[in-house]
Amino acid sequence: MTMDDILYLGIAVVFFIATWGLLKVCDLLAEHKQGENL
Amino acid sequence: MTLNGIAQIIFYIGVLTLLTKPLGAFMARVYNREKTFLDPILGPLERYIYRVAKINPDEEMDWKGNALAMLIFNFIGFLAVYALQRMQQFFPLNPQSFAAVSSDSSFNTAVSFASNTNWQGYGGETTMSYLTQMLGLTVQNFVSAATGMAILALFIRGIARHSAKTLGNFWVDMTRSILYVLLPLSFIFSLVLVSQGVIQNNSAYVTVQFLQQTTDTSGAKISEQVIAMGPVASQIAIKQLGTNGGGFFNTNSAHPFENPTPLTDFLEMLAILLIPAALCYTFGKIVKDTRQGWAIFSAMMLILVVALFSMYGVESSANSKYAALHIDQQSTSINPGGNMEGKEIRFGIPNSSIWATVTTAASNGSVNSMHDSYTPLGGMITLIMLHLGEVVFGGVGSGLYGMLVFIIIAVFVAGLLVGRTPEYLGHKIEAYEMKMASILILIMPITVLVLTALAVVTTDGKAGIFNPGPHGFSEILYVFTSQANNNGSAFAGASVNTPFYNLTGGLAMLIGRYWLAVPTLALAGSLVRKKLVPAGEGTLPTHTPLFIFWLIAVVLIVGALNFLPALALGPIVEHFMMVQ
Repeated sequence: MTMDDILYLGIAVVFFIATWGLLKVCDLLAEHKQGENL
Repeated sequence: MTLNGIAQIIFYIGVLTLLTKPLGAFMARVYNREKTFLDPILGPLERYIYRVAKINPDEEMDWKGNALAMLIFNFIGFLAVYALQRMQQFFPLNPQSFAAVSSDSSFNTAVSFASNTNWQGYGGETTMSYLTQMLGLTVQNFVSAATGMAILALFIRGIARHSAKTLGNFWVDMTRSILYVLLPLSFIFSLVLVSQGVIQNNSAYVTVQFLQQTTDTSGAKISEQVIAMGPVASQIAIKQLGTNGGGFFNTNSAHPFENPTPLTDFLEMLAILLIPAALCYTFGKIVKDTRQGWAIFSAMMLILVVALFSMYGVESSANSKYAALHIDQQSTSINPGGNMEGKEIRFGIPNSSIWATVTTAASNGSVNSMHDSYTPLGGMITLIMLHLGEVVFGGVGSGLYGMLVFIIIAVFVAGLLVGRTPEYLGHKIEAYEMKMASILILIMPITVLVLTALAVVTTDGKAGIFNPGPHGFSEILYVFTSQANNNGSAFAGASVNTPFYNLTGGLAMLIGRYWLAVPTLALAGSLVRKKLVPAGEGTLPTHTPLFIFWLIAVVLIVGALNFLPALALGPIVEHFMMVQ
């Protein structure tokens, strides 16, 4: 495994963590509307 | 345009339309977990897979559980393809002894195949071992397509159900997509391809002697050629059916071992749109109103038909620059006329035009001609099909859930314009749904335009441009448009197998796939919780011709607002330079 491998795999890991963050944001936005329009 | 060419387009549309209902009805049974004629064969295998993987098929998840399952599964797929490429020199089935793929290219390719993009910065026959092609790329062709279909199945249930919390089980939908739809179709299609001459072997490449000595571009005499071999048919079948598009060979479906006859050409074009079109009917069946499915099918088909004939028209037209070179552009029985540059003589203009339009309408990306050599307006049509967000049938699953987002926007805007209640199939469309829909329609254009801007102002970005001026801009715009829409086709005029393009393109593909999939599932999670709103006087019918045209208008307006300025800098100005 080279430094480049660590770099590219690290980028992928960061991206998927960011995507999990997006999931949490979508969930938070959904919680705000609880009881409004169900 | 010739009558023969027009007839071929009409025949293609007719066959596609005829197959939509039977396949769509079958897939509805698959996603409703009803009995199918394949149950006696595949049922035991399906149950065995669940038992081994410790999946309870009756346990449903909410949107977050499904989204996490999808992300984890796709991340593991990415890691597997990356590792296979980096270590292929140690593994068997590598008769050409290919070395490890470079890290940046491995990253780009692993992202590309995990995300159903199948962008290829490499040449398959000069880079990948057979094991990498089969175990890495072909497997991802199946699972990435099934991922899109599973997300769609979950989204449809979000619309079909009311006052519920769960959408279904991602693992079950994915397993059933592969077992009941993709594998059987691919198996049959592979055999048909082999019968037509598509190769399927693990042999070493073959060296053949020329009958007549010739010279290469540097003037050196050559008398032999290496013919690449490989397990091609099995990859080509799923590459088309799963709207993947990644070719075994560098020239993709222009290569005679991938696409040897007029019949394979027609069947491969048909395979590209077969599942996306049928899924429209599947949608109608699951929501128990097939008119809704046909309405979506009609909207997609109308855009496609206009694009098909426009493409055929502009590529068949005479080019004033050719006239100045005294090139005969008259269409006769032995001369196709029009713009034949970059097109296979055996396919001609009609079949090249159909393929180019269909592959960019779907997020397929395979090519049987070189889009870079199309007229500026022809190239612009391919770009427009991509810029619409891959919703004209689009990728398997992703195309339809993209169009359903546009429907939500169309319903909401119509509600604002004419005072109708913004609701869709009994679901009230409110602020949260519009927030998610807004995110979904903005992420792709922002990604494309920011990365294109970055490429045209940086040294590394500009280094890949072979053609300066507006055509070079079109090439760069196409690179990021194709990747951010998970299409994967290339304009083919830019050198993109560099660390800069591999990294930025990889990010574009990741964003285009997963940052759209998550809000899509969140949207489904919101819709499924809503109470049923019975249709009333104020409900806007969504199956009428009026709504179909309204939906088309919304799709076109959003696409134009996002990309018209960029198109003006590329193909539009290039067209005016050509006719000057």
